[in-house]
Amino acid sequence: MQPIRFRGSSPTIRAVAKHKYVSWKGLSAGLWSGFLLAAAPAIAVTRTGNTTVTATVAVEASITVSSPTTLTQGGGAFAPFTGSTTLTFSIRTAKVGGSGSIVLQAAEFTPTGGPTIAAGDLTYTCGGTPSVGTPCSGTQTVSLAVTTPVIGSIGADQRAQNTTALVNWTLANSPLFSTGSYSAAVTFTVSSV
Amino acid sequence: MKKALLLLGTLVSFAAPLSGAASYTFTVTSTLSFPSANPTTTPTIAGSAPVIATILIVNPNRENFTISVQSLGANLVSAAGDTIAVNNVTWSAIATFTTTGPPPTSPPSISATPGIQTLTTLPVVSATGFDGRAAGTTDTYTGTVTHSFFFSNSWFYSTGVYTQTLLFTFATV
Repeated sequence: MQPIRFRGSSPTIRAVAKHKYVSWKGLSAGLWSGFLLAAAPAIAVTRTGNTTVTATVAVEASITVSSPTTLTQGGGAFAPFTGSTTLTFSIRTAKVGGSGSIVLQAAEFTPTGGPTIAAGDLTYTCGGTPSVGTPCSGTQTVSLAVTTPVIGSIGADQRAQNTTALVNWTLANSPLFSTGSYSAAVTFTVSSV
Repeated sequence: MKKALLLLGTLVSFAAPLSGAASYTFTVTSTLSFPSANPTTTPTIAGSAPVIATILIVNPNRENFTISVQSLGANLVSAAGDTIAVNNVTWSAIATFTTTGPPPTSPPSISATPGIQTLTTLPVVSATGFDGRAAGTTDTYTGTVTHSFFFSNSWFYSTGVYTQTLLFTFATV
């Protein structure tokens, strides 16, 4: 492109016009946009299955008894023998209409010649503060034929673990007893419905 | 003025997705029962039978996968509305793989999560595996995860029958 010049008497005014042009030459390959590579993800697969869980909780009961219980004579001639047995029990009664209890029953003393259950020589009272139920009230006489109460009034939906109660024994001491050691087996039964 | 034609192009290429196996069939034991027991003599109650999750893969194609288990609720619930939290349920797992057909070109593998796990409402992986590569397109590989469940017993649960649903999930990763 030629420059444009003006000549005259006035001071020379030089005007130069220039055009700019852009050459696309040399457009490098860098202008080529990057190749787009879309790597599709592998196909994910999911499968499911269900299992129905069922847990059955039924009435249950358990008891342990301190054993043996040795009765000792109180002060004074022919004073009765006394001692205590500790019961530890756990129980779960039915949520609706349930109940529970603890009772006892004894077998006869052996050997013969001393106190007897049949004669009513062995009695007890109930004590302690178990978390469920009520200890028996008053003095109970141990029987060979029937059970007698220890803990009652355990109602519906009652649940306890290792709660305790006491049975306080009194054994008559008669001058008619032969000297010796006598023992009787007492069975405690806890029930839950 | 030179005229130039700018060619600006983009080359777009899509790689085809990786093809998976021909088919996946996932089954799970439908029921799990815990019978009642005396909590003093049986503080932990074993499930009546294991829950077996089975994945049947036809023509596997080198995919990693997991099998997980979760509870669909936070509690076991009785008809009376009493609840026992699901975290009183625990489980352990063992896993095996069996194949049919010629020896695989790439052997499968599976391993169970070790130890005792606690059931939660979030999925917990019970097994991870690799399904390998079969020699033939009809070859079938079977992954089996045997879950043993245990229930923590208590004197303080109210009586009743408690239920909940477990969800087992097979997923390729």
